[in-house]
Amino acid sequence: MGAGIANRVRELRDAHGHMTQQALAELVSVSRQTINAIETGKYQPSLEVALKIAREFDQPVESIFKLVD
Amino acid sequence: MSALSFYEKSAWGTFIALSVLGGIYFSAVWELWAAGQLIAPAVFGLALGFTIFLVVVLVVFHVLIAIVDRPGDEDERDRLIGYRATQWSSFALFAGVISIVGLALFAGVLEDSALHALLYSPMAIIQLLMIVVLAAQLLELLVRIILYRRGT
Repeated sequence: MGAGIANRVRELRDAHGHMTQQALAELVSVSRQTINAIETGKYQPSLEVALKIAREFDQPVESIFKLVD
Repeated sequence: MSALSFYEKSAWGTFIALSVLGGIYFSAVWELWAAGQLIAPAVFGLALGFTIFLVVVLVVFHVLIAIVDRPGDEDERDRLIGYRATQWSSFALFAGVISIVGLALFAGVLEDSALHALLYSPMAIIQLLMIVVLAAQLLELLVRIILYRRGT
């Protein structure tokens, strides 16, 4: 069985002045529902979207998305 | 703020409309067949009525959900879900058509059977193909709904 991917997107949104899912969605050009799916682990974003999220939070991508066994 | 995206609402509405109207259409076809009236003019009128009504229902539905939730472009998740759902429906369509062709070949061998009588009626073949198309479309919509709800 492959490893899953955990992320800190929700935590980072809260840390950035309670940024809304809609606001982040608009910044990275996806729907609000896709941000929600990423946060709840229902969808693993492409590298492009992961890098855009990392850029918006000014964090390295590996500190936001991590492999979990 | 709506919990479902425009595209997920679209999948739900289209699935329900196709299921209900398709069920009504094929029950009417079944009654025509049982009455020995499965002939081109009757089937054509029924199919035309079904198609027009389905288009009207879907247009009205999509206008309404677009008013509630303005649709943006599909994003990468919508596209991925679309690709996976289309894979399933393409396979179902292929399997269904091959099955009908196989049945028709088999029925050709059994000349005096009910299967032969059914499958050597062009109207019956058309209806069987329409069932396959409808089933493949419903499968695609169902896979979309499942992937939106349970995740990719």
